[in-house]
Amino acid sequence: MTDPPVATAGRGPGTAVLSRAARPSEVAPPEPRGPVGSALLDVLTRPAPPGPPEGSTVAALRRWQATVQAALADPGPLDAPRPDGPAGEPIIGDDVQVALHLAYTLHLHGSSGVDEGWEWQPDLLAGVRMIERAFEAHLRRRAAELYAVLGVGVGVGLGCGPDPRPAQDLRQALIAITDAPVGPALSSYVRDEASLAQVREFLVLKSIYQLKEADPHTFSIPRLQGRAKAAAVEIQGDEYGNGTLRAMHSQLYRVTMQHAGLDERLGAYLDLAPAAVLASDNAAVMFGLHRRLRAAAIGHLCALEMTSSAPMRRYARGLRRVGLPPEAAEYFLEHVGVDAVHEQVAVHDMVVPLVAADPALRADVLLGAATATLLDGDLATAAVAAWASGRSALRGPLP
Amino acid sequence: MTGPEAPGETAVIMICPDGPLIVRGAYTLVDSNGGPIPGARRTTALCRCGRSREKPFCDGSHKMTGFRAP
Repeated sequence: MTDPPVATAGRGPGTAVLSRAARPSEVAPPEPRGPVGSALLDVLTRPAPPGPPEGSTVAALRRWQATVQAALADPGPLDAPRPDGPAGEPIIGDDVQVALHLAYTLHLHGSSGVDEGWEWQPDLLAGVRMIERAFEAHLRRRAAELYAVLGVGVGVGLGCGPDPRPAQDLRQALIAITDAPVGPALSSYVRDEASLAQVREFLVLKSIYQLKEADPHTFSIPRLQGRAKAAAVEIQGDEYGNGTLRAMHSQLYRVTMQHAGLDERLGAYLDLAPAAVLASDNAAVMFGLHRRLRAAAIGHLCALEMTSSAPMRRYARGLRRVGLPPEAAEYFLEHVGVDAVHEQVAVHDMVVPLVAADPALRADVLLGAATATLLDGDLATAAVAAWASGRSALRGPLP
Repeated sequence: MTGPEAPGETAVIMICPDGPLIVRGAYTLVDSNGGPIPGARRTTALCRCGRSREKPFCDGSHKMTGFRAP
């Protein structure tokens, strides 16, 4: 199957000068939201150097690194009030998260007009690593705060908390983290209160990840062994429709978007997505791309599976309540059943064997779960607050 | 089939703590007349708490209702 051509219509200006023609399957780069994104786009619109960079590319790469450094070193004052992230945290703000998202497209679906040769260019990666280090530190700090509130034992191995049964202790820790009240229940709002316009905004917010659902976690499969690997493959197989395109979850989501009158192309709404959406998406990709963080990727996947069944039914009811057709709800109803299975497979066949085989991985499994919980909480907080006060949860109106 | 021993010709049933029964391998799900029950997956979760709205399949309700397995 071929993707429809991705045009730049409806996107903002500033991406016109690109180093080569767009290919049909690629996604237009997001519009930068500050100096970091602009510096990165200035690099990526050049041909990737086959060897050491030369000429003006050297200066562009230095500017990229220096801009990242400056942005991360200087937490404020911020340009504008941001409803999408805690104030004074540039690492999860619009500019840095857009840049990270753009950088990650090099490893995923590509960006139209961006030379693929940049993927492993060391000077570009040096700037990406600065962002990643700060992002990981941010996530570890917030996760530690969450563990302290919940009384979750981090430690090493299956049993580090109050539960004397080791595998049960790890499971209880994951349940405590994923049940933590870190934000309003987006699914209850969508089921009971959201207007049709708000449901469509919800679908747009969700589309940034859901149109490439499962991809970030698939990177971790070669880094697993034994039962944990077999379980990850079983889960991911379902995500990809077990060989049937129509059943692939990202494809089901496209059908949902079509029935809601939305553009189902990957990246179509990137520029409308608040930083909280991009941070959530980027965290999964960061965990997936780094072998060192493989257990965080698996913990992140496990948390998604553990928190899916019941909310998915609420979303389906919300979509039907505002008058969307049954076909639009199919994506959500499919997840009620399949994630009831995945929740168990993820905990008992994937995470527990992973940590049993390598007890040091417990901390990162919990980090992944805490990250999914916290960043989804950020998004839910911002979205429900916006809707409750009559504002859009997006950065601009839907076309 | 991700269990330690789940050969293709055998059904393996995993009893999840405070959760459903996970069925894998070669199995057929039928009603009391031997008729097929639609909706079974390659790996299926069967409700054990009695609160699922998708019975006989699990829908995650055991967590909301605080089900404790006997």
